Amino acid sequence: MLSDEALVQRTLAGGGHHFGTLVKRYSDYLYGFGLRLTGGNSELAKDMSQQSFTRAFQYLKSFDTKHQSSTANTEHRFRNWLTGIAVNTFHDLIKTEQRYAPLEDHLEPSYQPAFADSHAFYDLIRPLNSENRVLFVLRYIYDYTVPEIALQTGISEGTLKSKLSRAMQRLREHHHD
Amino acid sequence: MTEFDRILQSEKQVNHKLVDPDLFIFATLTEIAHQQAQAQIRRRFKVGVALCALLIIIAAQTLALSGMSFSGVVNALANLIANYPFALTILNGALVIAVLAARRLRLI
Repeated sequence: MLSDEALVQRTLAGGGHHFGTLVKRYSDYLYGFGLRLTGGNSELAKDMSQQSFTRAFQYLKSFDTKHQSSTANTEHRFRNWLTGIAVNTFHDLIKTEQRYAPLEDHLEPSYQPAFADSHAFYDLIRPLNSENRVLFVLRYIYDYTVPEIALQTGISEGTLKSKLSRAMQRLREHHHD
Repeated sequence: MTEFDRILQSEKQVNHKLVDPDLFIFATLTEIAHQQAQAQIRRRFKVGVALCALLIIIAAQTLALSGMSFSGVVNALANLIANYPFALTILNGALVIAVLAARRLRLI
């Protein structure tokens, strides 16, 4: 199986169809990430995933450049980069899509039977705003480290720790209510 | 383990999957192809506009140097070809190379 980096290089060399393999590899991951951020909104999660892949293809050269110049942890590098793009896409979607308004207004999200197992989690994170929701999900569901989240979101590590701490405190308090 | 922690642990175990992954992949790749085509059309349009502007500027400057006389421009060209017979061939060669380079760089 070709590595993500090899697929990126082949895509950049003119083999656009290799990007399809990357889409296939990470479609479920991004969709799940979108579901968790949107509180179970399947359509919005699909939109977020699709737009993230489209942007990733558009900015693929920037990933290649970073890869060549960086000596940091190489494992899951593409996934981390893609997650950063998905975070930005999610924030942009909130700004532009009026249909996200119900989630921001803390109304009941529309669940589907397929996501029944996650109802409790969607209810749990509902008090968080979009930014804190992203940070919380990345840290406590996907177990990304603080430096990794800092890279993905562009937030400094100190601010990040503070926001995560406040988000956790708020959710624990809200949950006990 | 509290109820709060149990919910988090439970969600970590959930592996969300697309109901129709093939359709999603097809739609995504189609969207990417569409955006690529749109970007190429925009790029070609910009290159076309830039080339037209360049030609207009060159023509205007040539006319201005010839005292706004078309016959002056034609005479100058005729003299150039008479004095330098290979000038036209070199010019054509440069044009072909420029077009090939532009195609190679996917500008047009």
